[in-house]
Amino acid sequence: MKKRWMFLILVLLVLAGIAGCGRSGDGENGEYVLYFLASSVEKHGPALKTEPYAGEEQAEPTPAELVQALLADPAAQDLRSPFPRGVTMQDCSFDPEQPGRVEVTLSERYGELTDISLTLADYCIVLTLSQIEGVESVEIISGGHAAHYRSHQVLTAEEALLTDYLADGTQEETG
Amino acid sequence: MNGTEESRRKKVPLFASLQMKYAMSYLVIFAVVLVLMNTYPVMASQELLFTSKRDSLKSQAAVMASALMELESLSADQVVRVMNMLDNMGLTRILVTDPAGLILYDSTRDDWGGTPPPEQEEPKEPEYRYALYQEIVTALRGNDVFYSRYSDKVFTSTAACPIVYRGMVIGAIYILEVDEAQGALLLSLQQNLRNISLVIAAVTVVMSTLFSKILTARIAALLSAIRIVGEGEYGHRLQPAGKDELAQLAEEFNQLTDRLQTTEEVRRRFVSDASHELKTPLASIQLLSDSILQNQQMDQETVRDFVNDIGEEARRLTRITEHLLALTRLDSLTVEKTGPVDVAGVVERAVNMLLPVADTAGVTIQSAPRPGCLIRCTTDDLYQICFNLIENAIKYNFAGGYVYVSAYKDGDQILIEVADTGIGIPEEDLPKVFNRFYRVDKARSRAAGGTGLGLSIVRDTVRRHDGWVTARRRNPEGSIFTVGFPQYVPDPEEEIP
Repeated sequence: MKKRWMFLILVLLVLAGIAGCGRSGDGENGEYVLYFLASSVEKHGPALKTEPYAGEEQAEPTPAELVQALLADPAAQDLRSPFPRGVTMQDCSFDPEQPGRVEVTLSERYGELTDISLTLADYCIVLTLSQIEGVESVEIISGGHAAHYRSHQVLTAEEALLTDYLADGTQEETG
Repeated sequence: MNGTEESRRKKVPLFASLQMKYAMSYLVIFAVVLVLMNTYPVMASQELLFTSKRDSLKSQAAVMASALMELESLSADQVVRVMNMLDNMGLTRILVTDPAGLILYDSTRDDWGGTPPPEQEEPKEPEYRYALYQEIVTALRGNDVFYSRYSDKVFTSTAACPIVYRGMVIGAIYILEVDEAQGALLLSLQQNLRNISLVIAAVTVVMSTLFSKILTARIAALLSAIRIVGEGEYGHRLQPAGKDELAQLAEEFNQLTDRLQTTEEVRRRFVSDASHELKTPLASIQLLSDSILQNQQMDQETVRDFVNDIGEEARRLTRITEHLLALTRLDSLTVEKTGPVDVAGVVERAVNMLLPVADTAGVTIQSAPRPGCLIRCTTDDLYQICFNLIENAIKYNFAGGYVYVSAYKDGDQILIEVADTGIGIPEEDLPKVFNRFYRVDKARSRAAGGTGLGLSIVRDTVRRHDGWVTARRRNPEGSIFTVGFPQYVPDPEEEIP
């Protein structure tokens, strides 16, 4: 009888292990994801979608590493990069004066973005960096200055609404 | 093989039976109809609702966008003011964004455009919310978009369109409608169709079982009748019901069985008659030979007479068997290769052959066949026909009587007539003279060496060549036998042998 119980527990543990391994990366369990533009063919759903960050498994990535990965094209066919071609990262570091804020400095070409294209690019960076523990807000600078036509300069993940909870019957998904 | 094994062998397995096949074919047809009935109307209604919603939502979004484009540039306060003036038209949510996707108005938020905060409260920090939905992004890029789906009994539809001022996109409007009423209506339609389908399915199962049973019951009756007849009960008949193919089949079966029964009766009578005909000369031979053997003091003259009689009976036996063989051949063999035959030549040959017989009987043969009477036949068969008829006319004639043989053309037919001045045939016997072993005067027939098969052979041979034969009384005495064949018309270049 005792042996049977032990066998049952062992089976449950194995199943739990398999289930745990099966979870895809969305920032939970230490797995990081990168945010890109969803395919424009889709008519409904979030405009930003994720793909797993292919960095070193054990080490926690730095903000700079994530931004570098983000500036590369997505691996998935149905995702697109929100950044203009040729945008490079010049700096990416925590603001020593503002705890929890990361300041990202990109090349001047980033300044070509306006309106919704700028918003989408901004929040790809913000949502990606906000997975790192301790990152609460992000400030993006290009060509030495912030884009003045933004509504505000310090961006947080909570500001981005990706799904309409009333339409999809789920809780409103924000970054 | 005993009866149980036989019936087991003949029993058709249920799934291979015709009844099951009929029932299954009905069920399959109805299943297809039911599937179509349950899918097509629902899909069509769904599509209709989608179209209606698309038109409705797009026009609502366009109305709001046109109201907002008057503002030239969008600010939260102005948008709220305009939107408060508009009716929300039963929509679940309305969002208005600026060109960057920043939400300026959200109909689901009470604090958006509601009463201004009291003066003593500290002013709130501005709240920034960006709607990064596909619909809004598409609209901000200058395109109208509509999306609708039906799931969980609810129609969820979204539409978005750009707010354009002087060719510039100054914002986007996004509307959401969650329609449970239409969803419930569609669900009700689905349920009604399902209930109706269940009733139809139940009725179909019952009806298909019933119909297939009725249909196959008649086939089973036919099968059973075939088996009964096959076992030799030729009197069994089916009762044809209705006017369909199965009724026709039953009628055909009955006619076939009639013919089979007649054939069987003829066969039995023939076997019985043949046995009887063979038995008579055999009995005579036996009697004569026994007499010779038992009577030691019989004089030489009497023995010679008896042996002569035995020889006569043996010859009669030979004739009977030859005629029987000839009839059997006519029954079983196919027609040999035929060709054009000149009737006059064959008639003359038969007459010449029978002249000695006629002389012996004191009968005169007058033959006048017309030349050029061609028929399609074989020479042997035509000779057999002429020979039998002329021989008969001689046999059943009186001494000093006549036999008249003629052949001539009548319309598109060639007729051969053999008339005699003999004993004649009673009117009531005329239809039977061609039956096998039928004799008008048995004693005379035997005395004349007849077998009762000559006219049967004539009739069967004539029929094999698409001809006909009749017998009638001749005035004032005797009989006339007439044989008719279709005239053969040769090609101009054809050579007649």
